[in-house]
This record gives sequence, structure tokens and C-alpha cells, in this order.
Amino acid sequence: MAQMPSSDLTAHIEALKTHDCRSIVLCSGKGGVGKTTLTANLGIALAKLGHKTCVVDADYGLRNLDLLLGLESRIVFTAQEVISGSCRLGQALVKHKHETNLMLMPAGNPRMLDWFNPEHMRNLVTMLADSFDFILIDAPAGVEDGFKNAVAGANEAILVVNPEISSVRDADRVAGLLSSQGTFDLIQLVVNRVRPRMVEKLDMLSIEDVLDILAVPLLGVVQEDEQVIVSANLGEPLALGKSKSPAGIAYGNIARRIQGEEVPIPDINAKPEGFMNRLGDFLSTKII
Amino acid sequence: MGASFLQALVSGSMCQLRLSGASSRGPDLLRIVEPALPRLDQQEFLELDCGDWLLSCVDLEQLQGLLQQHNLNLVALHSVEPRTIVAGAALGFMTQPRMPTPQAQRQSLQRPQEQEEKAYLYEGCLRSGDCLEHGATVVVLGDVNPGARIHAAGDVIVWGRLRGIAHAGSRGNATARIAALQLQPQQVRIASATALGPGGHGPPGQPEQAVQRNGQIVIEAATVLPVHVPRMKHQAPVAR
Repeated sequence: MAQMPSSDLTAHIEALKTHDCRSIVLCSGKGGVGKTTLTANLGIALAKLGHKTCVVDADYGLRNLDLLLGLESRIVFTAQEVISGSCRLGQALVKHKHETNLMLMPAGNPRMLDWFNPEHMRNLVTMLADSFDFILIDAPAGVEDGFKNAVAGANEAILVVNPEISSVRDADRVAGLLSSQGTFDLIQLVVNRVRPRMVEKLDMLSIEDVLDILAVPLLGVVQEDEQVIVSANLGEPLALGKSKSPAGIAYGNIARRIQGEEVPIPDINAKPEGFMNRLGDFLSTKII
Repeated sequence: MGASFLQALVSGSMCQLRLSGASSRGPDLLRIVEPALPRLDQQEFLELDCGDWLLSCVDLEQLQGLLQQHNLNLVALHSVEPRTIVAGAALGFMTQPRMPTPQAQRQSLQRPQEQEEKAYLYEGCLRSGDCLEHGATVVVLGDVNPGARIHAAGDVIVWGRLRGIAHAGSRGNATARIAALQLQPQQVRIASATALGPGGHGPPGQPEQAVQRNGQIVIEAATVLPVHVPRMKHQAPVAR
């Protein structure tokens, strides 16, 4: 039987502090901006840097973090069994095929939506805190109960935003909700799916425009990359580094920034025109 | 100010009792209303203009009793306050909700009440979906992002960028203004006038204000604050 720690509102924060663990929720408000992809890739990237990392799928209605990590077939027990006490924590955690530092806490069946509450999430995080350096929580889209559950267990947040007006507006709302909770030490921003050419032609919001509205510290910028889709279908996140792709490198850089390294964020807009330059870009400076 | 009684001018029209100024309830209500009531020889119909007073069913019933002693038959009720309308409708009066109208007279009556409440100082960024409502002037130290709303009975002053929706003089004060270091609102409202934001940027480094002139909202360079600098209170509650 899993031991359920009696948890009040701050017990998980204390547990995170005593075990020196960082629990980061990835949220966006809007759907389809790349939360799950970023969670999977940051999980891999942090694990590659030697941190014991757990990715928690908090999107119970539409779970697919396990798919992106290629672990769907290995799931036996889920968070549901852990919380109900019918299995041990270690039985539910799924170790990644290639990165042994990475574990997945899978979501249970969608009926979890009915009974799962913020306290369950805090209990889960309290249990995970002593065996991991990082807990990454993949929040569902929206700002309803699922979102509230997901953010309840975190002490840091990464806002994922696409450079489009609806995504920025939703992220702004989420940033307001997070700061009103008052339990977050750090809220950072990842601008995902940026298309430099469109930004150049002023067809897309620039990073500066996004930061101008959100006023949240920038953690990283990820370019739109077709390889992301390919890797999602294969169940092998880009951050594994099997193929050199700009997005994969960007994920790695974000992970290094998360662990406190100073990695400069290059100016994505300053792009010279012309075929040779583009070729040059492709070979070198596309690395973010 | 309290209650004022208007005699029916034309036969067939109703007498009117108007409540204004600071709202009161219970025994105080009757004490305020009583001196205003005339001695009438015959039964008259009365229309009650509650202004923005919040009156419960009990208040209204007591008031009705008092009025009947004065030969006044309460039949209709106007109010800006929805809860008063609900109470009135429950007692079977004809009710008519009203928008807070910026009549010059009403403004002068409301002025003292607005000054009773102190200005709010909100430190921080108001983000999309946040809504700050207050019965006096609101001062924001920070940005007001697109999608955020401020409703203030007094002025709205933003030490930062105003890019959301601001409503100054929400209780009808047409002399209220909206000032910001960068005034790029989606929409501004002053009392009952509404205008879309200017769209582009104002002159850089020039704080601007929106004021109402002849029923139109105009944007101009911000002037010095009014003489009475209100005392400030920290951290207004923000609805998220």
C-alpha cells in the first residue's frame, strides 16, 4: 500500500524544499501550443544533463505525454492506482527506454477528471519529491479544474506561448491566475513555434511583442520545426539528439537554463536575406 | 442630502420621492425620509426613485408603512441598484431598473459619497481577465494588459501602460478621467460615454488622459492631478 502523506496546503512545498526538488508546471491556457511536446523534450534534456527527472501527465482527459515519449505500451499502473493506494509509487513510474534518469508518471483513465483534486496532486508531488531533482507537470489546456489540479503541485511554472494573439492573451490570463495563487517562486516563458521568416515580414508577433505584453522572464525560444511532428509520431523526442534539429537544440538550451547555466538567447529576428545566407543560417545560426 | 419629495404636477401623474446621497437602511432610512414627506389631504400615488441605494424587502415594507401614514401609496420603484429592484419586485411594486445616468444634479449629489471611499492603490500588473472595481479613484502602479478591466467611480490613473478597458466615473461622474503614462486602451468609458481606444501610439514620453467634453471622449496630454490627493490603501481585491 502506498503511504499517503497527510498533506495540507504547504506540505508539498516543504517536501520540495527539504529534498531540493523543483516542481515545474508547464501551462499555456490555449491548447495546441506545444505544452506536452515541451514537457517530453525538457524531461529528456534534463535527464541527459544528469538530473533525476519525473514527467507527470496531468492532462487526464486527453493524455498523450506517454505517446510522445514512446512509453504507451509500458504503462501498467497509473497515478490513479498510486493515489487510491492499490500500488506503490515505484510500480507506476515508467522508466524511459533510453534516458534512465527520466521517469513518467502516467495519467489514469479520463474518469480521474471526476474525483481528482488539488490535494491529490499535492500528495503525489510530496511522494515524488524525495526521489527526483525535477518534476515536470504537463497541464491540460484551459483554466478549469484540470488546470487547477495541475498547478497545485508546482512551485515553479513555465508558460508556453505561441507568437499569436490568442495564445498570448490566454497566457496572460494564466500568468495572472498563477501569480494570484502566490505559491510560485518563479514563472518563466517559452515562446514556441516561432517562424522567423514570418516575424521578419511582420506577419507574426515578434518575441519582443510577446514579452511586451506578458512581462514574464524569457526562458527560451523554439522555432517551428517539422522534425517535431516526425519525432512525435516516432515516440522519440527531439531532445534525445538522434537527429540535429533546431528545435531539439533549443530544448537542450532551455534545459541548461533551467539548471542555472547562462546560455544566451540569440536574436531570432536578425536574419540576413539571400540564399547563401539562408544556407548559412540553416547550417549554423539556426541553433537557438 | 437624503430624501426629496416632488409633488405631482399634472393630475394623473405620480408624486415622486427621490433618495440620494449616502445610502442608509433600517430606522435611519425612516428618519431621513420622514421630514421630506408632506401632509396630504387625499390619497396620492407615489413613485420612488431609490438612486443607488441598496434597500431590502424589510426596508421597503417599513418605508411603505411610513408612506401610507402620509396618505402616499407606493406603486412604482426605480433604482440603479439591481438588488433593490429585486426586493421591490418581490413586494409587487412596478419596478424599473435604470442605468446610472450622468445628470448634472445627480453628480453633485453623488460627489460627497465618492469622496467617502478612499482611493485604491494597486501595485502590479493587471492581466487579461482581471477585473478591478472600486467606488472611488483607482491608481495602478503597473501595466493594465489587454483583456483586463478597471471600473472606478472616480478617476483611473495608471502609472504604466493602459491597454485594457477602463471605465472612470462608473457611477455617473462625467468629470472623471482616465490617465496613463501610455494610453492605448481597447476601450475607454467615462460615465455613460464609450469610445474605442486610439489604436496607435501616443507621443512617446507623454502621459495622456481621456476626459469627457460635451458628451464626447477626447484624449489629450495629461494634466496635473486634482488638488485633493486621496489617501491610498494597499492592494485592492482583484477578481480573477
